[in-house]
Amino acid sequence: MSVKSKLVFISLLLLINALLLIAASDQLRLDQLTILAIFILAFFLSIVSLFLVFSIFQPLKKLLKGAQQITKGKWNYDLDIHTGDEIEDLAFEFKRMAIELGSLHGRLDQRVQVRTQELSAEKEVSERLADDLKKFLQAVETTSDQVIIIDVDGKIVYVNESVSINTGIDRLKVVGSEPEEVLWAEQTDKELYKKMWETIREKKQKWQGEVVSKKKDGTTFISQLSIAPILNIEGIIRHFVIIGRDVTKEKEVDRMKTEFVSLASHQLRTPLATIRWYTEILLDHQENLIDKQKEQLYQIYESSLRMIKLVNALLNVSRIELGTFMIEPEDTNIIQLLRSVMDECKPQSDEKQIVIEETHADIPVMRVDPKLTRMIFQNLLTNAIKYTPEKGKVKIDIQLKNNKERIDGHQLSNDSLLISVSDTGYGIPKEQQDKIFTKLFRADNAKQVDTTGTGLGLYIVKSIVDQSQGEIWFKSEENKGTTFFVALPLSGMEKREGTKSLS
Amino acid sequence: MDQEEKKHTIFVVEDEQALLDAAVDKLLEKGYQVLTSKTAEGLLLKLSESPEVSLFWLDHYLPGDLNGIELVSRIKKIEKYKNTPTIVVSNVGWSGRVLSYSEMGISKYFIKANYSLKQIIEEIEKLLV
Repeated sequence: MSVKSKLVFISLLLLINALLLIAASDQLRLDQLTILAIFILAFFLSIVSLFLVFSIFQPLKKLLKGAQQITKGKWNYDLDIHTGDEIEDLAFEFKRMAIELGSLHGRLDQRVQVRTQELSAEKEVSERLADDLKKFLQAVETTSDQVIIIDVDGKIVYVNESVSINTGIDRLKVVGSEPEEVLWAEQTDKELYKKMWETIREKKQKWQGEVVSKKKDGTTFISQLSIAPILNIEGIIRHFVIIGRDVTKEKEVDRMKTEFVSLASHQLRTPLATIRWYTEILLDHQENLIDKQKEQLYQIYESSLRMIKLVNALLNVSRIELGTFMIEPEDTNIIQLLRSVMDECKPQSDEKQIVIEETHADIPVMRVDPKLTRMIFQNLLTNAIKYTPEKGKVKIDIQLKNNKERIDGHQLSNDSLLISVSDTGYGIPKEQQDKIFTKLFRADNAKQVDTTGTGLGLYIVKSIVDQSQGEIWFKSEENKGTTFFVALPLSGMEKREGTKSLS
Repeated sequence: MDQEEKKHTIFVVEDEQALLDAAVDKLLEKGYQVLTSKTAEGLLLKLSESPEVSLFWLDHYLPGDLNGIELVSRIKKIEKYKNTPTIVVSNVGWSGRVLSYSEMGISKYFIKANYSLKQIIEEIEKLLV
């Protein structure tokens, strides 16, 4: 029965009761038995209405109690209302709402938990970052290397303590100035700065080099610098980091070592000359020797020549490294020079039946150091012959090329005389190609075919080419051959005063 | 080589005994007359009483107060040796030094180890023609 019906029914019962009670009063003058019956009926009806009232209020009470339990978080509390009326419906909806609320609450709880975890992780990260930052700062502050940070305009924004320790300059005072003004001395070549800025600012590449640094007291020292541009995600430069180190002592030690090599090499020349000359005299009178002795003597002679060659190469290297070799340009006929080198190499190429092919454009007289140019030709040509198997081919070509012209993937930086020497030889193993100009380095396959090389020739050639503002590069494939390219500026070599020449 | 040429006297100054001996042996073998000294001073002393020298063979580094360059300038001051061919056979070959020698009229500069005796003597023969 619905609540509405119950209420109507109760009202009806109460009305009947009232009528019965009026009837039972004196006005109708009913007999006693009827009155008693009326009372009994009225009593019964009252009981029924009371029951009906209870049947409405009891579930409402349960509902109230349920609401209280749900408020406490008992989302699944059983209301236990089975009245079959609107109250049961209400209870059902109520329960559904409670369950929904419960799950919502649960989800919310979960989210709060996750967020709390996230926050604590974030805190940990930020603490760790702060800690890292502190460590980095300490490292930068206490390192013996000089660390300088400059902004995109080249102004100092930070220098570490080492700068102050090394130079005596108050580090706070240099902030806002350019390092060229306050830290580096005028002795540094202006061209060097130009190249440096070009590399780090325009090419956005690392730059390494040496500058003359100054101290507060006016004295200077040599700093080896490594400068790196720091870019943001878009590739825009934010600032530059400079790491500098005082290498004055290292350079001095290095110089002393080189001087020692130079001195020792000179000392070696006298005994070597003695061995050479005496073996020569003995070989002049070999009619008194048996064949085996002749052979042995010849070995001594050859070895002495090899050692003399090595000593000469070492002396050249020491001159290159001491910066004492001179460049003496004079008007030179390049083709004539090349042909005389080719003539010198003829015995070796004939012995191996190697054909040397020479082609050239119309080459004007050039102002180069003929001795140095001869050394370039000699080294490239003898290498080509030495590292090409019998009956191979060596090609020399000399052309004039324009600035910016691309040759075999290499872009020229000057109007140049391009010398290329190619062979059909053993080639340079790919993994060793980057070391080929390194002092004393010899490729594995080269060592196998010829044990007498010094590993100094290409180093010397590269040094000469570099000092002449020229360029050198090569392409090579193992067992196919190698081509060396040398580009010398058509403007010629610049004169350089020095005490010694390369020989 | 004819009889005339064999009479040439070559004065060798070299402080290294072994090298001096080798040079002398080879020169004698080629028919030259040879005078020797291990020092610059020794040469200057011997020069006054020796037969006329056709060619000087000098080392650069020498014991004593005079080096090769100073020795050459002393020799050039002697009237009869003013134009006598002179070669320097040294173990250093710096351009600056070679230049000073050539300015003094030195005929040829050799780095010892880089030349065989034969090559040096061939040059001497050319100078004495």
